[in-house]
Amino acid sequence: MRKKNYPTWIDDYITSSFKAVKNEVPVRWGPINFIDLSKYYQDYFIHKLHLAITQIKLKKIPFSTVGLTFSNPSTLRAAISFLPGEYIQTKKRNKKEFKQVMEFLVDVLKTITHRDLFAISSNIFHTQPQLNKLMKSNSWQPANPFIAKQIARLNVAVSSLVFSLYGDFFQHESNDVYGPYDLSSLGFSHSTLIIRHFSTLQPYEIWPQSKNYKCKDIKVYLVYRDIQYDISFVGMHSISKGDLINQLAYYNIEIDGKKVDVNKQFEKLITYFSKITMKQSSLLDQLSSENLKIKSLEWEGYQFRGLFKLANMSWKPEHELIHKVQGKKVSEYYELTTAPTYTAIANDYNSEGFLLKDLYK
Amino acid sequence: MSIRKSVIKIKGRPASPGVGIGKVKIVSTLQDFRSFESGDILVTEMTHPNMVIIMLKAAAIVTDIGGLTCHAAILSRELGIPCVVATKLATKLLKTGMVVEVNGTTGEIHQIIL
Repeated sequence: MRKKNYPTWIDDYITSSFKAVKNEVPVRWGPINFIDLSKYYQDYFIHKLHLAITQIKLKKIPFSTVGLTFSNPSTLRAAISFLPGEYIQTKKRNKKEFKQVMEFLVDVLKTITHRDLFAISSNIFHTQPQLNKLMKSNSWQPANPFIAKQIARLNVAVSSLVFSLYGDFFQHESNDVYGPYDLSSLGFSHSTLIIRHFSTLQPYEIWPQSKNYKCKDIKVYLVYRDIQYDISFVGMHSISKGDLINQLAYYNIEIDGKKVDVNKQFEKLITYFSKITMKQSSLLDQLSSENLKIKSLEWEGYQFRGLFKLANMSWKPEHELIHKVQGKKVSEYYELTTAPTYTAIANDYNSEGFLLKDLYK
Repeated sequence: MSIRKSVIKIKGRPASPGVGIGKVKIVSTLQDFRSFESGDILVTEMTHPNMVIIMLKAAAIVTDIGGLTCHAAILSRELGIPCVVATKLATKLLKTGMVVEVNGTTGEIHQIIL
């Protein structure tokens, strides 16, 4: 068999992308077509990232330190997935810069993902020792269908808030699902641990009023019996088989590091998050198309804020960048009605797979 | 009282299993939220985050577009309520007030005549 002249992560990237797209179509993402928008500034952002990465390399900052600056593995994975789409549209491609950016980000991703780098079926953020410690803690509470339903309602309310803070394209910044972790080796037969993590719920740098929101981080630990849980590319794109209400066995919920009592606090929390979602959603809906463009640039830069900080650079869109998109026509939604085939993603001219493999020719 | 399923049958992509029966509520604007009652069937082009309050009341969710990992699908599975996505025409063919059975396992929606 002929040896491939490109790294194996590219095959994983293509496989996971194909699976994710197949599950997502027919898709309509908004509130602005970020892919369409990026054609006006494609080379700028990749070059800015390259400058930051060059600084980080000069400072000899380890990949693992850079990894800690991302909210979760999915936000980095999603960011990596958008870059080839931007590069595709670049008129004067700088292959060397793009290759260095992609390789650097993939190396960073390796430090925060312990298996299944591009989440073909799982999003493994925790090491085995971390899982052992977690399962041995005494925070676990037995669940019942009422509690499971309340937890689901809270997840729905907070997921919707996240949607209204980051739009369709950048929700991963604040919403990730880790796992599935098989607990059978820890003595819990037929049991699976799923961890939902809502982080960065007060992104005041892009939404000033969010500083007043009640909390910034929610972790929901869920142990299910006899369910199948499959994740593709990003944690929040999960598909479960089994009854998530009746098969929840144990749970633990932490808001800003503090344990929450479902019976005493949940109804108020669900109401609270539903109300602020309505307000936040209204703020997003009221943005003009010009301001939506700027918000999209902010969303894209914000997910790299820690990386830029390590390089002593600002994540905020510069006037030059904003100028590139002002007055430009951009569609409201990114739409895809049919899923491309695996071969199309992997090999078609100018497909993501083609471009990534071409970096090694 | 006899119950029968009518010929109005819509087929979409099953996104969250189970069967839900209730009154259709076509939702396209915020004004539509006011009359949404607990146990209604949310029928919309695609769900939006501002629908959170009515999603929590819905007996089932039906959308014109969306895949297995769209907002409506993921959240329906969380809530344990049936969901059918990618029906293309549900918001056109169904009318507010109709009683329907949403089968999230097969992806079929039938009108129920009482």
